[in-house]
Amino acid sequence: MIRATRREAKRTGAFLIYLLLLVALQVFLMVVAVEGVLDHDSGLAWAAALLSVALFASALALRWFLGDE
Amino acid sequence: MPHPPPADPGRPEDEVPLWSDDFPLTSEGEELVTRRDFGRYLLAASGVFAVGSVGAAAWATLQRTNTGEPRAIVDLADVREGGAHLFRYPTEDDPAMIIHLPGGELRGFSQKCTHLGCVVFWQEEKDRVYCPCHEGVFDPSTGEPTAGPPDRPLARIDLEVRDGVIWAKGMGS
Repeated sequence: MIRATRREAKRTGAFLIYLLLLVALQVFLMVVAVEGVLDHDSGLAWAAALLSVALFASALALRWFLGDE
Repeated sequence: MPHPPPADPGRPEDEVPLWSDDFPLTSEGEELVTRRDFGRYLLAASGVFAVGSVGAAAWATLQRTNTGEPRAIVDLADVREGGAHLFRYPTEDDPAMIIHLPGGELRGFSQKCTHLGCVVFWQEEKDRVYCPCHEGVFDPSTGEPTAGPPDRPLARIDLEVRDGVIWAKGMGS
């Protein structure tokens, strides 16, 4: 059985909190992108989409940096 | 096949609680596995939202806006000065109106409020276009919002009078 050290557990918890905030922000960005669709504003939709992709990439990068969490 | 109960150094072997047969994992180990899986689910959800947003943006780029074909709407004589005429443009699902402003000028607008899509209407006595849902107000000359939550102007419809008939020429830019 793998036992996490206290430091690892804290790190994992922090990463999860970051992910939770990130996903919440991405839900908002998704709504903005859909509003761009309904409003025929592709610029707004692309801005929201690129920011969402950047957030996802940041999460992947952070996961890689921290190791396999 | 249940695992042996967790060892508790401070407790004699014969006092191991019965519940540990049903929940054989230690709380530390269970928490670690759950966090790891939870993190993976969140990361997957993040990817889904990112892809979904890109899909929405691509949809916004590819969709074609119907600007409408030129069409005769109503005789100019049937729209009195200060009055309005309601019609559908550019499709039957798009409520629109022609306002005959005091002074003789004509304005064509979509009736969809730019806030949340409620139907706006012309109030002659107050010289304004009004949205009853959230009390949005628009300037009848320009379509610009002047009060309330809307922050974008009404969609304009280009009009032209030909031989006494008002024509809609398409949605304005």
